[in-house]
Amino acid sequence: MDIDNRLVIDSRLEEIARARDWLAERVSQAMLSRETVGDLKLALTEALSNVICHSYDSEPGHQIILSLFVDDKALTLTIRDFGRPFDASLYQMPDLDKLQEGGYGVFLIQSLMDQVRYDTSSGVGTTLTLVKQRDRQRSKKPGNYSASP
Amino acid sequence: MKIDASKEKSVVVVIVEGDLDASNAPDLRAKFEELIGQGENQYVIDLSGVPFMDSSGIAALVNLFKRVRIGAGDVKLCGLQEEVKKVFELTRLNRVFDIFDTCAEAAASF
Repeated sequence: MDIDNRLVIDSRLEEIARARDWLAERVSQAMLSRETVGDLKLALTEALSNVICHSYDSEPGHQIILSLFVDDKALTLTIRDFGRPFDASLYQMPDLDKLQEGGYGVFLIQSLMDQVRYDTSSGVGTTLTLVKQRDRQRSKKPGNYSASP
Repeated sequence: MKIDASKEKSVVVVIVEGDLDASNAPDLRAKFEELIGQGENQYVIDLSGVPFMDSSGIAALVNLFKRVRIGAGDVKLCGLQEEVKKVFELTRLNRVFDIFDTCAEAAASF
């Protein structure tokens, strides 16, 4: 059964829990493993934290539109914001051999998802697309992603 | 999220309950700040009641770890649920923190 859904949240950190609950409720019909649901929730959380804190500079009152599509092969989650575009070319992977407090958000997203695409071609904000294949062994190495300028 | 702290001998046991993300990680940092201000430097962090943690939670724990290690203190973690354990494994912080199944084991390791 295909699942197609949309949620609009405000650019406040308190909204992230609501988005997690929305995601978990929507994918509950999709017969996913607990681990896969956990991966999706974490990737969504990291992505929304980045949008709110960096694209919108922690300023409330801005829209973030979430869209979820699930079919028998994959889950596709898109996160659309209208803030400062994310420049994927500037992103640097954290050095996991050094003890650091920050910089793990994008790394975790890339590690947990099968595909990560940043699209800033509209000229306003960023559309982040996250794809997770349905519960099969992943072969992608962490850190691979694509970006559309 | 709920945070409780109690002292057993020389070790402070901090019990965290609920999802830990960027909306409430500052509360955990504030509790750590308060405890450090009281001179505490040996910690067991009980995460058995935390079903979800993001990189903000990681940042709060790493911050505490870095600060107490300067004074020869330590931070031990216990009771990690599978989803939380995975975050530590992906970031390789499971090699930095001593992680125990039970808090009794963590406290006894000091």
